[in-house]
Amino acid sequence: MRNLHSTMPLRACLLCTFLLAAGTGCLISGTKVFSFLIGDLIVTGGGFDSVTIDMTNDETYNDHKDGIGVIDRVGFTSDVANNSGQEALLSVYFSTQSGLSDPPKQATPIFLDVAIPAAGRTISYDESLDMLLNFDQLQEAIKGGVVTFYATANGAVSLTLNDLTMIVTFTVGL
Amino acid sequence: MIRTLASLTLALGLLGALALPSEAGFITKLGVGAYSGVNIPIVQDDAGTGPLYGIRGRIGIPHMMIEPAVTFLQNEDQDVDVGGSTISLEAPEVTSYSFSAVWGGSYYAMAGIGWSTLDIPNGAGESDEPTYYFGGGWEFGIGPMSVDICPRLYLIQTADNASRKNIGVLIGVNYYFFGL
Repeated sequence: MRNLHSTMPLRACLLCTFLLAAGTGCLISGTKVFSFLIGDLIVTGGGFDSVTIDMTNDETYNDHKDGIGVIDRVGFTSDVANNSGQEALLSVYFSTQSGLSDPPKQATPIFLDVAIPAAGRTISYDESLDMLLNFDQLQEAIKGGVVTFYATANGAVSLTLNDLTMIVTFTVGL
Repeated sequence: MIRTLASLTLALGLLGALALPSEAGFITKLGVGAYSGVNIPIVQDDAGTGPLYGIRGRIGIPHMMIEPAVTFLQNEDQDVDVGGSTISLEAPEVTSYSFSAVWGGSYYAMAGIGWSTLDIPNGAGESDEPTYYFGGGWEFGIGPMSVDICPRLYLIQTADNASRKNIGVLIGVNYYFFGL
């Protein structure tokens, strides 16, 4: 009898903990990661290429889109081929609007003047985290679900961003 | 972090030195302790199981005990597969300052509230939000000291009303100036 009484606070607490956990949905919610293949972008100097993505096509995003509380991280990977044989500077912008006519003035930059050697380069996830700009605005755009990316380059160069991929970490609400 | 630990240790030491048993009155028990353990994230793709550690005070008052504490929760980095290649996600870290209420004797229940700094490296950065604690434990004394085993659920609120949940399994040692 004495043992039963002495363990009652513990039992009550464990029950409360379970009920609270179940009630707040914590057994099914949490922090999720998904990668989204944006595709290839072909950039010629002085011009731009764009691609619009709808993240509701991703199962993880779609399952949690109404409950996303915070976007924890956004990173990118791509293998950039330099078709012109001369060093170039690559810039990438984003907007929730597609069809912009002047992305450098109308869209928000995420990568500005990234040096692309004549032999091309791979942009790794970690490198992209260091280079990324305007994270707060990008968070809000991602919560909206549809984002258009625009890529430009300087001078008379030609670049191909192969398999541009976005990796998003987000946490759902309480 | 070292400055925080030093400040809290000094504060708890001063409290212990000043509160003599004869003057205790309202305070039925007074102790300090340190603990370490395992921090298990619940459904967090960017965080693996890691260590936690911290220091605490224990102040007994009628019907319950108050436990001020500072806890450092760490996680292991996690690898995820992206298009056939692996990338590593740097794990978040949490520093939490808390006050908990503890009920019971050798077996006890506890609940508390705190304030945590959650750091998401290379991402959302630091956020400072409330944290809620629930758990239970078992404490057994050896002279003026005790050993304490305590599983806890941490509900760590983050920016934009999101939250992370962790289970901590703590093993600690306490020293009581009086009241054990």
